[in-house]
Amino acid sequence: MENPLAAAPLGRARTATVVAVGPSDRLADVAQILAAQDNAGALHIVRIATDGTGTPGPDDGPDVITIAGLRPQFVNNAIAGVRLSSLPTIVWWRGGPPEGLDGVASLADRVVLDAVDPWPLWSRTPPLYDQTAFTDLRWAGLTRWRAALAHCFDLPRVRESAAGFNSLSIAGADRAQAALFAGWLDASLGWRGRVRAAFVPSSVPLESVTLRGSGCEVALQLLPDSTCLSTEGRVAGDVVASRVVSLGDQSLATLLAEELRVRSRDIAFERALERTLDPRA
Amino acid sequence: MVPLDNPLLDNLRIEPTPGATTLVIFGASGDLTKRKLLPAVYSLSRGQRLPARFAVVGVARTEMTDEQFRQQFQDSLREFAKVDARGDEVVRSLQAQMFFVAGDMDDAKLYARLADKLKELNAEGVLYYLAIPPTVYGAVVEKLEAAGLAGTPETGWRRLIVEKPFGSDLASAQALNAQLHRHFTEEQIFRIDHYLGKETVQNLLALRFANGMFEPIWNRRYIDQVQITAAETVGVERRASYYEGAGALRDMVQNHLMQLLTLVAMEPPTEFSASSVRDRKMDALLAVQPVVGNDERPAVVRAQYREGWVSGGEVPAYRSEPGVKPDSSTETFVALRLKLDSWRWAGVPFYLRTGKRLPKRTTEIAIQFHRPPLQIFKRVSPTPLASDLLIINVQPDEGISLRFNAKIPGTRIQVAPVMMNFRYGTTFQGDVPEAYETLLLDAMLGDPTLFARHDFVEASWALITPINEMWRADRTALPTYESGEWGPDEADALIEKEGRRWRTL
Repeated sequence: MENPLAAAPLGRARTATVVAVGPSDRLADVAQILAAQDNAGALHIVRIATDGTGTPGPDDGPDVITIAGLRPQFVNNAIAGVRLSSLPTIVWWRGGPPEGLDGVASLADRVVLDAVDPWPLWSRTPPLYDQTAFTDLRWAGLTRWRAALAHCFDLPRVRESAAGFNSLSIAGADRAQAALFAGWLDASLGWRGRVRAAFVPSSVPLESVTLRGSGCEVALQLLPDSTCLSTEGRVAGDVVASRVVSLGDQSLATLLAEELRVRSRDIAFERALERTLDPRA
Repeated sequence: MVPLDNPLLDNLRIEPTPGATTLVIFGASGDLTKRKLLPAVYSLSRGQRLPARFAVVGVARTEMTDEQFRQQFQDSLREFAKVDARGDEVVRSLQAQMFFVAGDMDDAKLYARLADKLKELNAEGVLYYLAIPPTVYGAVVEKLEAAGLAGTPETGWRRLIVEKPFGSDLASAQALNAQLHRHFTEEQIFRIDHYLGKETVQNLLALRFANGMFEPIWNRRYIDQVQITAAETVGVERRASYYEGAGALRDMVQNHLMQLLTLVAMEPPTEFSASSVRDRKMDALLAVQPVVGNDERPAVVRAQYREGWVSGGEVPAYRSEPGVKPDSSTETFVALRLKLDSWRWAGVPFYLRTGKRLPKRTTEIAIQFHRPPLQIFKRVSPTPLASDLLIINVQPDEGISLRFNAKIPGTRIQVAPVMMNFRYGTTFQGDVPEAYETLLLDAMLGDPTLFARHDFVEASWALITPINEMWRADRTALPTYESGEWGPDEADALIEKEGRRWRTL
């Protein structure tokens, strides 16, 4: 017989303020998404609607603060007033006027971008790197793919052949995410635009990534059930690695949870984004 | 020229994986493999922590085909990890790299077959996991070396994971270490103490050395006593054949509790590296004074559980458990007080207790601070002040609590203790890895920080063995306690004669 009191949550150890910013239609599910990972209220949740019509969501608990009717230039003031003292503030930017990002950067410890169209935000981001740590949920969605590719590079024969890669093909429906992946490879492997990337349309956000070079190929392929990736590395005709890895839970809640666990600048993201935005890349 | 570092690792989201690894499990048809090792391999795989080239070779006396071993993997996931692996592509991919070699551990032919298999797999890094009785360790390591499978090869590595118990007394531990060292270097040997793989144990290092506020008060000036408790509600269960020859002192105190003690007592390491952390733990262990053989009466109590009521049901006495001798003198409870001769800890008692069939399952470290030097509230608030407490919960509800005194709201001054609680499960998101996942991965990565070093094991046995020998020579009746109680009266007497009490749990 277990003591029922022992199983009850014992108070709250708060960890951060999460401020979701965006149009009201993109804020309705914020509390629900965060609750999936935060059932004990360790996060202080604030929603700031940028279109002036924000109303509490159906799953909001009593502690969720909703602010609406703000002019974009005052979003930063709202954040300053509601964030918890002494703990990190994470801004989850789900949309709204991109220029609002500039004022938020100095108040947030991290900014997690999650806009439908990321390009206007991305172009504003690099000049703000010295003010806060940036990331994007598209980047979080690439973690498993990047890890699968990186593990192939653990093999000396693959690393040895890396200088010979001359083509990259990425199939996916999310062009921005594919471009970010290519930017990461460009920045990490020092291609400086030497390797041409081809983007192939697909019905899923990301379907495959193939790196080819003289006598070497590394291929990642989403399996039909969309939960796993097959990875294969070939060098000089030999299969040096072949396996299936889990893609993990790619739900919005899980991707956001990954971002909430990261508490430092993500230099790999910053460099990848810079290469993605570089017209020469 | 091959670039040494992987340019795609970022040490933030993409954590390093071991190089190409083949895990060779001796005792592959056994309980530990099914319950812990195979589920840990699966979890590591799901978390993308296994290398791009990874294989498992099971070794056991039981005749089994590769296919049957793969089926055992699937069955163990279903039974012990609650994973339905049918149709799971990750499982299928892992299974394709699982093989089985059957044979007698004493038979040189087994090792020849194993060598052939490793050659066929083009194995580079090889991790041998000895999930077998310690009596067989010697034969296995000797045969591994004879087959050319022990030394460090030109490319890759060979490592050995050894399960507890590391001996049954000082002499046997020394003999075992000597035996292992004849065939493997200390750097190749990873002695598992699964307590060290627990998140809270590692967090104890973070609590002490990632904060500036605790270390200045972590000493005799501010700390009155330390209590370390490892309590179980279960009895001996199916482990009678082992436990009868071990008892609580050797099963729990020599390894787990000593590890916890040294993590509390150690000086700050200069960096978070294996050698620095383990050196400082070793220093702390060497400061522990012998319990037996000094001028004092040994501050140690043993007892055995009687029948009683635990966890909602009546339970039998230890001597009535299956596989236990009716006149068994094996202790199921131990309480002891240790003293450390060091500038930091002189005069601060460390009370350790562990037992089976206790009222609650809990493992914790409680640091009790001195009361304020002047009781300024005693006239207006007659209730004696409780001591401040810092409690590190190791299991089952991993976290840290701080008890301090606060004023009860109202017009008069009344002071009462309050508790602030931090719990991993509710504060941080994501799954906490099982201890075996952490330790298996660390061994593959070659990081021995969370493993027991040979000198630690021997120094710990040097403390424990005289207690055991004293008990073996003792013909007086073994004290008992009712199942569901916090041990025998003698345990209370041990601490109360020093003006203290066991913490209420």
